[in-house]
Order: sequence, then structure tokens, then C-alpha cells
Amino acid sequence: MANRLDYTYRRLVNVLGPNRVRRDALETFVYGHDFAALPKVASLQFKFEPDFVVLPHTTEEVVRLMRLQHETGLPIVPRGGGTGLYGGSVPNRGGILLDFRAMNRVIKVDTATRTMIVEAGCTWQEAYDRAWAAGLFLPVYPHFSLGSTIGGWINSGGIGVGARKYGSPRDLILNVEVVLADGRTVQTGSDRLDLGTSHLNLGALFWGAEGTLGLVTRVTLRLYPRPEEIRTLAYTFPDLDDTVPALRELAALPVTPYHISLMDPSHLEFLKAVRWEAPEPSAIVLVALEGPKDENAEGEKLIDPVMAENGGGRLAAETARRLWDDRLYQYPTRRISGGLVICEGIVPLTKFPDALAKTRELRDRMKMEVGIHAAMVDGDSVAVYPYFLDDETNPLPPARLGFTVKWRDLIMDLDGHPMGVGLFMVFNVPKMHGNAHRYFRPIKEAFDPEGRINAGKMHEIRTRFGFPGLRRIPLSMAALPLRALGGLKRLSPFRDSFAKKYEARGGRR
Amino acid sequence: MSLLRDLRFLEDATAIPALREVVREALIRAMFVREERALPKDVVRILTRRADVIAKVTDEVEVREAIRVANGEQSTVALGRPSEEFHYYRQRLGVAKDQPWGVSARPQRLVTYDWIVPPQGGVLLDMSGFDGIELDGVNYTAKVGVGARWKALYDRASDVGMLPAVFPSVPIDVALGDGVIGDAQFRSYRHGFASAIYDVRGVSAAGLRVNCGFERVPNAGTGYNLRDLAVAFGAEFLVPTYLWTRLTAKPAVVKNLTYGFDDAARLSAALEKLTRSGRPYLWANLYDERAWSLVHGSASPAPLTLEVGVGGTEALVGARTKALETAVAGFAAKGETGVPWDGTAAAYAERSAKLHRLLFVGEVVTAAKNAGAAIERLRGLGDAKAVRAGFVGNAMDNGQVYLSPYFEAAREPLRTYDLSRGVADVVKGLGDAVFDSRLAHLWNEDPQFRRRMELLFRLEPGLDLPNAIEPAATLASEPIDLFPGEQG
Repeated sequence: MANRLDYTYRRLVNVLGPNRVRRDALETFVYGHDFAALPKVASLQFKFEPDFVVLPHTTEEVVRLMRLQHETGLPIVPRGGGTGLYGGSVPNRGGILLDFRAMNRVIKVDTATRTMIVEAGCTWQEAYDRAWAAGLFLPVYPHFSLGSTIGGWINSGGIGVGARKYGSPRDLILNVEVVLADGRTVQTGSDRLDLGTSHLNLGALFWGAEGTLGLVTRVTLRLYPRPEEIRTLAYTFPDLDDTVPALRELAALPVTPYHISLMDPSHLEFLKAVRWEAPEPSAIVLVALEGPKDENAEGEKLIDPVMAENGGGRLAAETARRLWDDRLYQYPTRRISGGLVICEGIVPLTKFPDALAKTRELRDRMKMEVGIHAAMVDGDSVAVYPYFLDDETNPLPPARLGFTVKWRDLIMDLDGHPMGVGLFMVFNVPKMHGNAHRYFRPIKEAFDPEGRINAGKMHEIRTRFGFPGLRRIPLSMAALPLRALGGLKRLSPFRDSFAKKYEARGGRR
Repeated sequence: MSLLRDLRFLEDATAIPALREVVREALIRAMFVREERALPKDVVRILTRRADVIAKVTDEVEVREAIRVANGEQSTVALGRPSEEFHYYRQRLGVAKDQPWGVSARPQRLVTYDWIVPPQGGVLLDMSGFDGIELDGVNYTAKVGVGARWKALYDRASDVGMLPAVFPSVPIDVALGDGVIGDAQFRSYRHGFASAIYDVRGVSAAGLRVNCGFERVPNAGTGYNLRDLAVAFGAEFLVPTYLWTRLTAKPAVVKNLTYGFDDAARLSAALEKLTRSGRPYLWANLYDERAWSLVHGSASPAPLTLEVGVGGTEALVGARTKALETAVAGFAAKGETGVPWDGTAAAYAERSAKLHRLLFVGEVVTAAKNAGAAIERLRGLGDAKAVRAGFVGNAMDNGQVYLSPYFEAAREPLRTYDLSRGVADVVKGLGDAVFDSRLAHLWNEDPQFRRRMELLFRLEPGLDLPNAIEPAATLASEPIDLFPGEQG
């Protein structure tokens, strides 16, 4: 093994030079994590630390790395900003981790075709700023991290800011350049036109594929004209449940808000603990309108009475603006406990009150501290993001992680689905997709029959072991430890009190 | 729907030594126009095959039964044949599933023309029985059978104050399911077809009911994006039965405003400005004179007409109309007319039938600023071919225009091929434009297109392991002759 690794190292250095190949323990340790709270005990099953971290600069280098994989047999794992929540970019068997952040150029912003071409490691922040500077608008971007990369979000999928008006980010993708497992590249669409579903456009297939079908190296995105203004309105309600009638009525209005964010009092309590300027805990609906000023003014005139009639009180414009400015920084609450775990799911608006009630019930049953915020996906569905406070520095088995499994179950029972697959939530796939999950294996095998790229993140769980029988964990068994941990947490007589302790310490960790 | 079957057969056929010398396009032409003297007997035999049975199915159990026969699981389905014949083909099915015998779903109505390679025997499912539409009037979603007419969905949704999220690009009386099974295109000013669909349900080749999406919510972060895969290629690996589609609230005031243009360059400039306005119009349709008169049943206000759906409150409609008129400045005439989809289903069907007599050959996709050039060149093509040419089109807020050229010509293969070739040449000359038609896909020799095709060829057998749905026709395979003596 050592010989193979040394040989691989020499070959990698041949391709990229010594400065862009890393194998020292500290760096590989850092790359063995993303935003997910990793139970340390999971290292028994998985080799989270890559053997090598490499930083390619060009698609050609990625092609050479992919071909090198054919020689060495070490698995390839792509990584963007490392802001994923489910271990999608975390190795499960070591191998070669490709950090795409060095491929971060904005290649072109074309004002005539309203498109931009970027490399996979370009952050959404950079892409947004460059489009804006060119008089254009990148209307959808990740909810919580503009530092996440274009390629990373394409791999993980999800819902972003602006989805209420502009839909899924996948609708912005015109073309994706992908290096396939056989070392060839493919362009999934066109750089200048949206091919929609014709011309065998495969772009949408790579959306949410966790990088298991190929290595995304370059992306062409659709841009829109820069709006005259983004107007923000904020309303307070006694509880998040009380917002549902208003949200239903908003769907019937002839203005489509750009974004609607929902904050539960629980979330604002935590926010208040770490930020004195945060609003007082209550349920808050933040509505952003985007477009021509007269449209926005008319929209405001329509939205205000709907909110008022349903019990919403308008907050000051300054508060609304501050909430909007902070929309991407929802988790300073991590400071309270030294870590937090975020769950994501989408439910129909009609089931949103049930989702809230059951989430709170689960929180109480498991004696945990849970904050909830949410965002409208379209007129009828809500993306719900509950998170719980956890202490990641605690070496004991992370019993609170049981919450994630149980919460995902309850979301599926409410006609919705959880979001995120990755290494840690792949066990959800059969329940989430029913019979359709049988398509997952053939899709992976058509693109990567040998399992060279990020295997074990979509239709199977692969462990660090090479022996038959231990190589894979059946999906049906994968959640059992987490469920057992959840059961232990329920039995525990102690109620979590991170927030109280944090306040008692005067806001210090 | 079987673009992959056509593409695969073409690849297979060009692998024959005798045909290697033949230019690929000549072969496509010969196959499309059924030029039997120019084709080997084996190719002719495959092109002349037809489905053994056409079964009108009305629920998923019947679809499943048909598939179970095709995948070899059972042979007792009642398809209108005596039992001894089923026993016969059960034996034949038991040999291997490399036989091109399977199940195909038939679209309700093709806007353009049929696929080249027909089903090689097997069961052709008539999906018109799947015509149910369920909407509860509260949620902005509807469950629509693949055989249900889009117009019926429009009427049902309108009754409860809603609108479909997308409209047919050519106002022909197609089913919503034709967007998945057939060649119908749907869009609105803001949405494409795929984004209007939550879920495609169907029966897989294994006879299982599958949901390639989620009935009540959009899919996001749920692993492989089966929904988009199913919208684009679903009919290649499953039999689609129901779609869950998004609806939108119908504004209190809806106006269908029209702007006539005398020349295409002005229309082009207007479309470019319109799509940069940031206003949420409902639809933006384009017509030439003939198409206008067929769709609206009245004389066209100008040689070229832009029709924009403006919705909202009175105040919003006023503001949006004002902005619209500023954007489309340069129009020669303006007015307001009825919404093209309003009126009775019978009247819509009648107008649709008239429109459908025209020969549509596909869709030209280009940037709004190129629309004028595209229109002029399509007209020029008509002049060169001595046939009257026109178009129906749509614009979207993404800055793209979708023109469906039509010709007043007989729907016969040679003419269709010739005119399609002409449109393809026009598109090539335009630059930033693509021609979306089945023939254009067959002609496409772009290396990247071929790579995607290879990937789909690798993917399709995995998704349809028993080769039961839209099976490929290959020259090496011998079609099963189920009923020897009955047909040639």
C-alpha cells in the first residue's frame, strides 16, 4: 500500500507539481470534514482523510488526474467550498481529493447573451458580484453560504435564495463541462442557448448527483437583467403557524416575491443570544421584492394588507433591511454550543403547520434545543431548516444525531422530502424515492461502472474496508445506529441547556 | 416517443459495410422518405414493422399487465388475441429479451411528424384513457393523466381561479403528456416545461409504479434528478401515466394585448427590450398573418404580431402595459384580443385542427435579437421552395425566442424532409440558434452531441433491463413474428 501511495504521489507531482499536491496529516485531516457534524466513531467505518489533496487549475489537469486514477485505483472525490452538510465531498475510503477552489475564474460574462461561464471552483459570491458589475443578475444562490462554489452546489443540489421567483438553480444551468470517469469530457448543453430538454441536454442530470457521475469543471449560467431595486418587507407574527394563511394568500397575488424567508421565535432566541441587534423573538416573515420600482411599490401595497389581515405586524424598514443583509449568515448560533447540525426538507405549505408541530414535539421528546427557519420554494411548498445545538468537541457518541433521522422520517410522512444525500444521508434514498430508487444504481453504472468517482454516496454505502462482506453497508441497516442513538437521547434524563449556559457565561465559550 | 430508437438504429445501420460508403444523411433521407429501392431489405423490413396490438389502457394496472408480458413475467394479459397465440409468444419471449418486442406509448397528437423506426411488433399503448385531471382548488398543483388535453386542464384550472404554469407553444389541441411522450412543447413567458412539472409517474420496465419526482413538492437535493430525466427521456425507459404539474393563480385582470409590426427587425428589437424589462408577463406569442387568422379567427392586424398576456390588478396591469408599450416601441398597430385558449373546447379543437393542417417541422431556438433575421430567412426559404412559409412563436424572459416554422404543404415525407433540411440550413446560417426537431437530432454530428448520445445509450439499458419499453430495433435482431401468415 505504501508503495502504491508513494508511486501515486510521484505521479501526482508529475502532473501538478509539488506545490499543488498535499499529503501531510494536518491538511488531510482538514479535508476529512465538511459542515456536517461528524461522529468521531464513524471513522471506524470510513476513512475520511484523503490520501492526497490536489488542486487542479485546468480541465486538462483534471482529465490527467482522472486518467491517473485508472493507474492507481485510488478513489477520486471532488470538493468545492466544503460547505455541504451531508459529507458529499468527504472521502469514505481515502483516495485523491480534488479541491476545485483553485479553478475559480469567471471566464466570461456575456451581456449580449445574458450568460456567464465560470470554473467549478468559483464561489457564488464572486459570480454574483461579477454579474452585478456587468449590469446583470444571478438570481438564485445558496441560502447559507455564498462561499460555496458553483460546482459544489451543482453537485449537492438544493434550494436557494430567489427560488420563490426564479425556481430551481438547475434552471439557470445552460451547460456543464464534466470530466467523466473514462477521462473524457462532455459538454451537457450549449454555452449560448438554453436547450431545455432537447438536444439530449444532460445538464439537469448532474444537478444533485453529489459529483458521483463526473467531475464538474466548468459551468455556463443564465443571467437576468439587473433589477432596479430589491425591496424588503418584514412582518412579525405570534407564531410561525400563524403565517400560513398569509402565505397562502400571497400565492394568489399577481406579484411573485423574489424571496420569502420565515423565522421561528426559537431561531431568533438563539440569534438574540449571540447578536444583540437581532430582532426580539417572534415569528418573522421577510419578503423581498425584486424588479422595477413601480412593480415593487405596487407589490408592497398588495402584500401589506394581506399580512395585516392575517395578524402580521409590519417591522421597521431598517429591521427588514438588516434581516435581508444577514440572510446568508443564519448560523452564528453555532457559538452557543460549539456546533450545530442543520436538517433540510421541503413540505407542502398545507403541511407546514404539521411539520412545525412535529418538529417541536420531536425536540421536546429528545430534550434538545432546536431552532427553525424556513423559506418558500414556490407558492405551495416550503423548505424547512430546523437545526439543533450540539457540542462537536464532546468525544461521547453524538446521541443528538438521532434527531436527523427521525426528522427526515417525519418530513417524508408529510408528503415532503428531506434534502441532501451525501455520505451520511444516503440511507434515505429508498424510502424517499420508493421504487424509483432502483434507477440510481444503473445511472451510476452507466457513467462510472467501476465506481471511480465519489462512489458510495448515492445508491450504496461503501466503507473503508476492502474485504467482501465489510465493503458495503446495506442501506436498510445504515440508519440503525443513528436511530439507536436517538433512542438513547430520549431516555436520557437531561435536557439540553446550551443557551442557558452560554448566557450564564456571559456569552463566552 | 423513441428518439433513442431512431438514433440507435441509425448508428446500427451505418455500421453495415454496404452502407458505410453511403453518406449518413442520404441514409436518413432514404429511411425517412421510405425510399425502399435505396435501402437494404433488412432495413426496409424493420421500417415496415408495426405494433402487433394497440391496447387502449385506462389505468396503471393494465399498463403493468402489458409490460409484464413484454418483460417476460407473464403471458395472460387479455389483448384481444386467443390464448394459444399468447402461449406462442410467451415461448418466444422466453428465448431472450434481445428481441425488439416490447411496449410503446403513443402520444395523443404529434405536432410535427412520426419517428422513423416504428415499434417492432409488441404492444402500442393508446394512452387516451388516461385523461383524468384532479385539482383540489386549494393547492396550486394538478394531477393530470398523460392523455388529458392541455385545454381541459386550462378550463378546469380557470374554473377555480388558476392557470396552468405553461401553455402549448403551438396552440394545437395536444395533451400535457405529449410533452413527455410526444413532441409538444410547452412554456410560458417565465417558465419552461420541466420547471412546471413536479412529478412524472409511470410504470417501469419491471412492472413497478415509479414516481420520478414528488407529487406535492419540487425535487431538490434528493440525489439523481429523476424528474428532469423523466421529462426529457422518460418515455424511453418507462410508460408515463400521470404528471403532477404546477398551477398559478389567475390574475383578477388578464389582458391579451397585441402589437403589430411591419418588419421583422423592429419586432426583434422589441423582443430584446421586452425580455430585458423585468416584468412578469404571462405569455408572449408571435404570429405571422396566416397563423394569427387561424388561431384567432380574425384578420391579422399586421404582417407580424406580438401577443402579450398581461395580468394583475387594474393598477398593475396599467403599469405593466405602460412598460410593455415602451419596450415594444416601433409597433405599427396595437390592440387587445381574446385569450387564444379561452372559448369552448370544441371551438379550440376546431381551430387547432385547422392549424394542424399546416406542416410544422420543429422549433428554431434563438436569441431575441436574432428573431427578425430568423423570420426573414424562414420566409426566404418558403419563397425558394415555392411554398408559403410562416411561423408561430413564443418569447421568454430568458431572452430566447422559439419559432415553430410552418409550411403550407402536404404532410408527405419527401416534402417534410426537404423543408426540414432547409430550416436546418437557415439555422446554421443564423449562428446563435439551434433547430429542435427529430431530423435535426439525427443529422447532428457534433462530437459533444454524440458523446451525450453514447451516454444515453449506456444509460437506457440499465433503466430498462428487460428491454421491455421502446426496445431498440437492430439489424441483427429478428423481430418476433407473433402471428405468422397474418402479416408480411
